[in-house]
Amino acid sequence: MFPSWQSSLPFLPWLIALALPLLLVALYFLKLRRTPVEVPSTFLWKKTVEDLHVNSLFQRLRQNLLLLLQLLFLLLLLFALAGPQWRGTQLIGERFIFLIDRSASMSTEEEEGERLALAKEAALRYVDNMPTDAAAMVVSFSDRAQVEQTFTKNRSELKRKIREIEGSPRPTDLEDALKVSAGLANPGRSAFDLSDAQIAQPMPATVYLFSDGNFEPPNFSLEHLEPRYIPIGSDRAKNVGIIAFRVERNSERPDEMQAFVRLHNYHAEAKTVEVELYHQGELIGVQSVNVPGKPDRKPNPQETDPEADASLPSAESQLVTYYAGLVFQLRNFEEGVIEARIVQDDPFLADNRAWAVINPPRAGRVLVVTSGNSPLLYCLRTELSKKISEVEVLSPEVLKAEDYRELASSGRYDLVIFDRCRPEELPPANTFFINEIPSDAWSHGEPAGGPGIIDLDRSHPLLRFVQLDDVVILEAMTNLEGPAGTRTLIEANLGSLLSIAPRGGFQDAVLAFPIVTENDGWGTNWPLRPSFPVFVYQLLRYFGGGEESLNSNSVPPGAPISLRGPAVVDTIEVHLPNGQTVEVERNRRNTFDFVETEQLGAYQVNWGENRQTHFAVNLFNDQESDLKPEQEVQIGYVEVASQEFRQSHRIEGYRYLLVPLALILLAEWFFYNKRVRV
Amino acid sequence: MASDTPQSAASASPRANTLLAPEFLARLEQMELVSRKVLRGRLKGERRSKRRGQSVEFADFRNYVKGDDLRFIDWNLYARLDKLFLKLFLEEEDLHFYTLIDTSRSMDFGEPTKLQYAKQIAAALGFIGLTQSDRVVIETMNQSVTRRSPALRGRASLWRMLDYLQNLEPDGSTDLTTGIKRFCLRHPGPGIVVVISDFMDKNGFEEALRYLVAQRMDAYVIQLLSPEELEPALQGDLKLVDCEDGDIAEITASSALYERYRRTLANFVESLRTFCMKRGMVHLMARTDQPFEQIITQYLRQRGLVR
Repeated sequence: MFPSWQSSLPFLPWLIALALPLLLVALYFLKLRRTPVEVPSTFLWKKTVEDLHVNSLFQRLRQNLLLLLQLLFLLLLLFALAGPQWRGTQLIGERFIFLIDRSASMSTEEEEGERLALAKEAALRYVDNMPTDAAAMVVSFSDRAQVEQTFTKNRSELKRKIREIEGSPRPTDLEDALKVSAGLANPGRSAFDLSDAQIAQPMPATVYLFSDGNFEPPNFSLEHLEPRYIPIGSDRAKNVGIIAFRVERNSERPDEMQAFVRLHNYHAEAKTVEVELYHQGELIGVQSVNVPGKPDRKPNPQETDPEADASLPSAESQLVTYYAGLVFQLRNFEEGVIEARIVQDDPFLADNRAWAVINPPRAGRVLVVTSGNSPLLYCLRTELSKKISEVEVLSPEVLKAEDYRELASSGRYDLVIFDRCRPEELPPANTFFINEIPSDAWSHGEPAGGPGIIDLDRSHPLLRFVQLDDVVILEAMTNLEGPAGTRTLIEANLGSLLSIAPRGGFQDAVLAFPIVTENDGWGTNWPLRPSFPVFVYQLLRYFGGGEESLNSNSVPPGAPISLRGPAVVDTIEVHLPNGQTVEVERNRRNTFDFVETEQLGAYQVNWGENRQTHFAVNLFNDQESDLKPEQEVQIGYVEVASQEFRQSHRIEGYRYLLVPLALILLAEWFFYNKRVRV
Repeated sequence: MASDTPQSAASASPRANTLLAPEFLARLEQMELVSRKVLRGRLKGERRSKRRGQSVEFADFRNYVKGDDLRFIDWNLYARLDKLFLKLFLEEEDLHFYTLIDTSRSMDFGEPTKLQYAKQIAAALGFIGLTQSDRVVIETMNQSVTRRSPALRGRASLWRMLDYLQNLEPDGSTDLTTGIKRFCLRHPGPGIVVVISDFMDKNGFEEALRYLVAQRMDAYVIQLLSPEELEPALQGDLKLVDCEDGDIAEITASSALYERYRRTLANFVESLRTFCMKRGMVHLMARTDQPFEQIITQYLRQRGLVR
């Protein structure tokens, strides 16, 4: 590319300037007025110099090195003076925010390289094209945003931070990143105070979004942020991914298990894939399936006939044509990790493997404090209940003893049932109070007879499948009220008959009527109804934690998981898929909160005494697996299409000449000093 | 006579002081010149020498062989033993000691000047020769100098020798070939010759020294160089002017150039030394900043000129 010239010097000074190199050469020859020095004999000097002369042109050049350097310096100076300019491109604006997607889908291998690497390369090019005085900020995001570099004009720092961004298996959520970016552009706003006035001057910025566009359109008002979208990736990537994986016991044959794998094909072409199933690394099954290709376009609800019923098979079939399901019949495994693996490699590896864990069924520990309640204890000791719980019974007198306090505070129990009694201090466990309130935070009126049940909240897990139509209650507490957040589950004409309220990480449920009375009479005929054992069983499942044995232990990457284990310990060790070990302390709620779920795979939890459980981190994200990059993204009400955002401008050449000029000066100084020093 | 002793001779002439210190003269008195060629036979007296029979000092007898000069037959012995014996006499031969000094203008450099240094060496060696009654001749090889020193013999000539040396002035340019050639023509006989010069002759030294070889003289070559020549300390862009012929060499001083000069000088000295060594001459390079007494008492002694 040839430069154009823009010199401010008029003709005459130019003429003088051009004469300078000639002048220099002339001066160089004139200046050689050597100092005469008388020596005894020039005999040896002549010989010495003769040797030099013999040494060809290089020696001559070396003698005139200073002249050459000076000439070069002058010529470069004249060149700079001529004001050379090149045509280049640069970004428009003064403040830029580079949002770089590092979610799971960005780990896709394109022909040119990994998408994240391509995004970083693109961002680096944009940094190079920033105007001289512009500042920029770098934010990387998956389902959460991370400010890699706050606003700075230091380009090398920006580039370094961009290069340091690493991929993550998390899903994508742009909203968080936009909120972070909007800090300076839309100041003076807080999420909590609607009357918050804008006090700082907004500093508009241009947001460059480097992403494949596979995310839910964020509901975000851009205001002073101007969005630009640079799509990364090509739609050539063919991906078949596991979108769901579940292992269940065969309901018909309890000694068998079934594994369900759901595969999605995100490309138009149908593809046959083989899925292998492993238990603890040992192959236990393989199946091949042809996954139909995905239709070119997602069904757009706006384009479908508004009068058509969405549940009609035609619309349904449009949605489901590109997936396939597999069922593996397995023998019964007591515990372990089952992994499903697509044998064929594709550009996106994160969804080619999925894990399901089978943990040994954990019995919930239940303490019943009662002076006698045979219907309840009977239901707690059925075969089904025994499978999911271990029940201990104590009499109310024990509540006053010091031993109880120690026992209760140890966090040993998942559920404590207080039958017509109440402890001074509530244990760190879920509680179920019968005809008694847990604490002074609760209140009730005088008991009254014959409450009539008005409504049941069957959506609550405690009351699923529970029918109370023919239940007669002799007497119940009236106007039962709990602390803030109390939910009424059974409503009667006298007030709530069953309420549930949160307490820290636990829940307290209160039944407002006795099942058996003091004199061993029955307070209700409920125990004679089928709904009573159902209710007790659900009480054990809901509060006792007995349903965690299967499938409840899979979380998406990055999501926290609350672990409850088979043993009472203070710390547990979690072995990550990459072999690292993390220690986790017990929290106040008697559980272990684990947050380092950044890696996909099966995690092993050691509970001491060789007792182990597992949990899995699976992607299972339709959006991340769909690799086709969007050419247009929607942010709030704004649609952002990809386009070229650089404007051409002139690059001043003289700046780039300053460095060589300085170097030449240095070289001249060096050679000059070297020459005169003996 | 007072001037017969070196002390008195030195003190008599202020010039002598500048060339030879009295203490040094006392040391020189103990020395004598040694020729490796001429006096070799005398050193080993037991050997028969063809040079015998010319003097009056008896040396030996030997059997008469046919052709011997009848004049040297010892008739008394013939009478007593009835055998013919020849009477041999020692050759009465003195040592011819020549000193040839380069007095060109290039010798007028250094502190002391190379010429002064050369004079001191010549004076010292000449004094040794005089004390041993050798025939001492000091000459300059400069073509423009016509004045020659007369042949000197005996201590009494010390004053004349010193006076002659003191009067030598730098003049003209170095022409080794002409100088040595003339010298050889004037002094055809064998002897010891000491040539003192810087040998910076643009025509080379080889031809000149070949004359000495042809003369079969016992030649000693003393090359004098001043520190300025050995380690030049010039700076900048210079025009070097030859003091003898006005020749000009333009240089730009640099460490590389000086390095090259040192190499050239070393090659030059080495070539002279090799040339001399191959032809049975003794080469000695002397710096004018080293005491000249050291040259006489140490280096020339090591090389066998004096003992």
